[in-house]
Amino acid sequence: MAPRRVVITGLGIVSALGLNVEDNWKALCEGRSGIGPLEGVDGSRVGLKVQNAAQVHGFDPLKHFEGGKDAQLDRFAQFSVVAARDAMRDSGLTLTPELRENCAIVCGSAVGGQSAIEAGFEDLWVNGRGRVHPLTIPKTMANAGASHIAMDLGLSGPAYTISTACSSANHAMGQAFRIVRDGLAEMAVTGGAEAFFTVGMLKAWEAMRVISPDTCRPFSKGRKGMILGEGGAMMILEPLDAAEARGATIYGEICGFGMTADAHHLTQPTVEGPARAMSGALREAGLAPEEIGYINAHGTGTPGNDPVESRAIRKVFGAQADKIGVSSTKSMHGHALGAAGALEAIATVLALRNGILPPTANFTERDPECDLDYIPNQSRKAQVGAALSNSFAFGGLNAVVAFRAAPR
Amino acid sequence: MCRSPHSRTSAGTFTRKVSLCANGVNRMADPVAEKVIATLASVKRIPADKITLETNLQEMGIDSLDVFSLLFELENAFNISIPDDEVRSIKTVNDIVEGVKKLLAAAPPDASVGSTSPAN
Repeated sequence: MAPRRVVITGLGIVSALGLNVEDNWKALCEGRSGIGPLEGVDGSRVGLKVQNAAQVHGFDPLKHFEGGKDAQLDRFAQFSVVAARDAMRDSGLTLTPELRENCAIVCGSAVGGQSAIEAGFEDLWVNGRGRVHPLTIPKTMANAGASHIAMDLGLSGPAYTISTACSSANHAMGQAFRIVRDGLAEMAVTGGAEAFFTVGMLKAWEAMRVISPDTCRPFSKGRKGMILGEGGAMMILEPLDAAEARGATIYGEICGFGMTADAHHLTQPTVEGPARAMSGALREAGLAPEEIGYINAHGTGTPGNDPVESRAIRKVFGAQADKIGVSSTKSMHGHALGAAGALEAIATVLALRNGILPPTANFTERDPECDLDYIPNQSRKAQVGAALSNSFAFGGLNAVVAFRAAPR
Repeated sequence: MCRSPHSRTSAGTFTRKVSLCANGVNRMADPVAEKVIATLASVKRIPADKITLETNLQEMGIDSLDVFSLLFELENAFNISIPDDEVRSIKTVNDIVEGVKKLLAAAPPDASVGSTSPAN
């Protein structure tokens, strides 16, 4: 079977920027950050220093899950299901029995339902209880998101979760793309979800000394680190011909995927690993470097990532890099770990579709070590034909997805 | 709360229901029943007044996962330990109430798991 072109026909998202695609896109266009004071986590007893976060506000599980089902899903799995439902609804697909059996689900999540097991451990060791909640195991498992999507939407094709820290969602979307491209499934639900705002997880992040005390200023001089985020985003992938045949709205094309390992250091990135991942995505997509008009950067806002990522982009694109708009939307939706790539994929696809490049918010001053065009603070009207979305994980695992604007 | 059991064909069920009503067992007078019903309502996210002692768990949509959660909440609420064997025969809310009462009567509150009393 000849490789098929794969398009995105449905989007669903829950993030600090809003509970639907419209609110998210509006915030991205306005350069409005969802970062704010951390709420709902009492770390005073253990001197928690993390003060700001990009949290999802106004998400009421009872609006989405009836009859006590909400308690069977950790927050990350709730985000997964709600985003998948929205994406499926958005796609307008009619799910025939045959299609249900041939729909893949590939989800990314770095820590899965860690908050569920942390609550259980708190019961054991802090509250002195002799029992933990009986659903602690199925709530904690990283595949809970994929499993609940399968059950909720009645999709019974290949389904699994990829956990590669901050690259999880990009690895997931890359796999889903190849599954549909190669005809291993007729369609796919793919993306990522993460929800990990617990005292234990935040203390663990704090200990790594990568969290900014104020906000996230990617690529900006004086940046002090990342701001953690939460959320979930899912998209529907299907073959171009099938989407065209049913007259579907096509948001864009997912056309290439590159992945590499740095084989170097647990937390220090290299230039070569990310550069090879970007080159791999371009190669698979059949895209020339000069066709890329936008890169949604990994752009964590840490002192370490941003100059190295900038050099990696320079290495791949050379002088052409100066013509590419590069932004980190983590400045707005925070770093949602295993969901990050999915939140950013939606930003990238909508940028291609709407001809508006989302900015890097909170940008204050140019850093001589970061010499690209970061679209500081204000979105930019630009009709670009193709884009990359970068994710680079702790452990040196790099995953880059390439997108094209919808065929016109 | 003692609805007419027209639909029931089992004489045993009928007798039992009558005796429940005749004995005046209702949630207002029975703190154990009241707590069981409140726990059940909380697990299924439904109003407590939708549940009576005669309510059949299967009919109210309690599945196996709900049972796990329900047992966990009941163990916390009453500070008891419910053996696996006790679980299989449960069909109605009253079965739970009777089971909890039996466990409360048979043993002092389960103190083996720590001294902190559960908040709920």
